[in-house]
Amino acid sequence: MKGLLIKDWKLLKNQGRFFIVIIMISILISLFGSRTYSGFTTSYLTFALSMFILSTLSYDNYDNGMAFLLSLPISRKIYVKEKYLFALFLTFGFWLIFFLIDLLVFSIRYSSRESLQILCQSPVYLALILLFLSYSIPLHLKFESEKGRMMSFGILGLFSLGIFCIVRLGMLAALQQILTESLSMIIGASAVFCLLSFGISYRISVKIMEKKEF
Amino acid sequence: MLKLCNIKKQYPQFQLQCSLEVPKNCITALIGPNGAGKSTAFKAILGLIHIDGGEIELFGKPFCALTPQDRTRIGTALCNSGFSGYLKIRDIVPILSQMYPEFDKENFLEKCRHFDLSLDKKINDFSTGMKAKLKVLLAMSHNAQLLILDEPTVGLDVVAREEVLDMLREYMLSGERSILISSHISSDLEGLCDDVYFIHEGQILLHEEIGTLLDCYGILKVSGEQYNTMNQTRLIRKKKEIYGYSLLTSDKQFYLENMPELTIEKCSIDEVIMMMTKGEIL
Repeated sequence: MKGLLIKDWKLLKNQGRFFIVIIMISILISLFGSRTYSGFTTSYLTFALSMFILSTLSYDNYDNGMAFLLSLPISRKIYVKEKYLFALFLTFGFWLIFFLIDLLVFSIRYSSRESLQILCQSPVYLALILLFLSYSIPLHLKFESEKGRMMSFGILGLFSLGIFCIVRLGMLAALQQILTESLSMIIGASAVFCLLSFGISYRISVKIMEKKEF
Repeated sequence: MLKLCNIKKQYPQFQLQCSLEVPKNCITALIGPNGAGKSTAFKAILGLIHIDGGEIELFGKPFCALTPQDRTRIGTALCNSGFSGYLKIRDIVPILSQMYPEFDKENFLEKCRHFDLSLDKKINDFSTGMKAKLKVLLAMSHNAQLLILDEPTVGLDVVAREEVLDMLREYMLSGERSILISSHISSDLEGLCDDVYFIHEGQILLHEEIGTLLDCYGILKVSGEQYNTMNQTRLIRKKKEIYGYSLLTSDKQFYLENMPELTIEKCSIDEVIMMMTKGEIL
């Protein structure tokens, strides 16, 4: 598995300049962006960068490369395990980088109460990103790059539509009320739900890979 | 080293059903026209497809019992697949070092330099020939006992092809090693292999030692009248021609001794392929 992790790390490193640019943008937004979008923008960038895990799946599939990869001394289960580990490593890694940037910049720009308010949103975005990866990885493994990507974003679109409907129907205030009243319970439940989704997603992905032919 | 016992794979419009053996210290070729089932057989051996029946045995173990450690003893070069084109050779070295305990880094890098393969260029930017060379070098880089090479010389010029074939010959000199190879360039196989399997429409039609194939097989060119009167017991295939028939025999000597008046020619692997696929079974 270490060999596969090195492979994905090298693929990531070859895109180094792109990641440096994104981190610079994040710093600039935190420094000069409006307060409303500060927390959201950096979380959105975490989301964009975490998508790289899906790109590694595309790179592996490119030019029928998966056939060669699976002829190496690794099992299909190890391949899937590596992808999930890399996804966790990447998402937490980027999230932590952006969180620390925000923490530093907001402590300069805003009062400590305001900073805390913005930063509290950050774990929620992290949970959402993990949830997105939980259904996207199996879809990419099953349907491969283009189709998988379209389906992932289709589901994301439906999710966004759901949020939009909640806002339009005036249920946002009620939702916010529930969130405020039982915040710690909701955070705990979300964490458990995310980990559970990730675990279930892993098992589904192993099944998909074991059935697949190359 | 490798045994396929009546393996079966059913597709809607194609069925593979074959048995094959690669003994120790042998280079075995799998030849056949496009779509004959060579790649399907290779995929079955590497576990890339699920077979519907039969057994695959590698290093004396059933395929399903192979551990990742056993798999380090296999070196693979697939004609239409390899490491991601977004990687460089310099990126691949630590990957192989991790995966193969016997990866010979120095030798691999020296061979890359010898073949002018840049370490810092993305594989996507390599020419077809350079990619082919890299695939063979990768397969041979970790002291594998069995090499599985699907069209390893495709895209190479004559000089590079000969260099790769020399490397394969040199590879066979040390230890108990075997190679299963497929190629469309029959001249490569004639000077390299010990035995050859001919596959057509998913079935093995012929298995012969390469020496026997080149020395004993022959093409007889006969008129219709000659064909009707001759001894046909040692003929394998018949093909209608303008002058009568061309006939494939597995015992050229018999006809040379008993029917010296016939036109008898030595045959190449290409001619055997042609007669086996286009000719009528006798």
